[in-house]
Amino acid sequence: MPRLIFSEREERQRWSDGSDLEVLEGLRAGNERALDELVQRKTAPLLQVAYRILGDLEEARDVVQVSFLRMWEHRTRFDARWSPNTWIYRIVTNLAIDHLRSRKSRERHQEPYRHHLRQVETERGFSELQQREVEAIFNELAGGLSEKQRLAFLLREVEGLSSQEVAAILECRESTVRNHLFNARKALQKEVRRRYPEYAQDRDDEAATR
Amino acid sequence: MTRFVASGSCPDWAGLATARDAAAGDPPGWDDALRHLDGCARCRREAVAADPLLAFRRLPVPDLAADEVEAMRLRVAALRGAGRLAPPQRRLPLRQAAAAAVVALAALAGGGAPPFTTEIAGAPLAVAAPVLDAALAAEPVLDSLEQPFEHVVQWNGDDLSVVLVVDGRLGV
Repeated sequence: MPRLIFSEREERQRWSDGSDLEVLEGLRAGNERALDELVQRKTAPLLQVAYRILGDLEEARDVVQVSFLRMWEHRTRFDARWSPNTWIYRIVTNLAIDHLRSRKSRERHQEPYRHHLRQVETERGFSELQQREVEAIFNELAGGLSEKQRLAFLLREVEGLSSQEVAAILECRESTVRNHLFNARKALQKEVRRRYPEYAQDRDDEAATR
Repeated sequence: MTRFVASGSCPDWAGLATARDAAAGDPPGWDDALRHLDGCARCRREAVAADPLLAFRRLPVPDLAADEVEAMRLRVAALRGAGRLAPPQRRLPLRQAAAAAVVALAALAGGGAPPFTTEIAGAPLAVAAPVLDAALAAEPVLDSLEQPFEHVVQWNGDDLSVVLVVDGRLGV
């Protein structure tokens, strides 16, 4: 009788049922379908992170694509004692930051936001802004942070990772993450007050009435 | 220790924000408050008024195309393929391998020239039945072709191994 020696569907199912750790162990063993599964699972969240860092979806796609290739090429370096997300996010954030450094025209990307925000801010309060507008404001303000501050704020405050995870991704101590975060928050609040005083006013008024 | 929980079940956002600004690190109850915020539309306005930076929490995901993941998979595969050296002994051109499988099946079934070999455009007729040597046939022959197939069935005979590839993309 003929023997079924390979079924693409069964192989895909096997990987899609596995945990992140199992997929990365498959990747480490050189299994190409584990890489496919990794792409399947992580494309959206990694695009999101890269997009937050870069502020440009097409550049984020390039970075994520290269990140997956880097994961494949460096697959034997993955240590199963690490959290899979830590390893993956570290690769993506490092590449995104490298990309950011090489970008010569950051201001070019910010100008359209500035123009847009000038129109928006006169119309509505901060809490009533549409999500896309808030996103544009974030992209604009975060451009003024240092790399570490930006990453700490992005991963902890926007993406909601724990301080411990952020420390592992940034390869620093948790206390350092807290300091980056503290300074990032101070800088962002200062910029919000300077550029959007009506929003800060809400808070100042509340503080005064307490 | 202050937990910054206001009357009712909603957190005291003003108190939390003030405490958070005072020092590096989160005040007690901060993580609980954030979890609450994610599920409480009423709190959003109050939380953002207390700390405008909370508006940045859970920003919308970028607009991804419906085929984003598949496009990414293909891009990664293309990049990976571009950087890989082909193992010299184990590679068969796709059409040649497909033709070999069909020809081998036909030969096994009745011998003689298979009636449908001419339908395989571009496939050289020189790739007749014995093209699959034992070393190739003993393992999944086509797994080195860098293209996943839907099914591969292998039947090892005394003098001949038959590999059947089932995949709509082969067009045979």
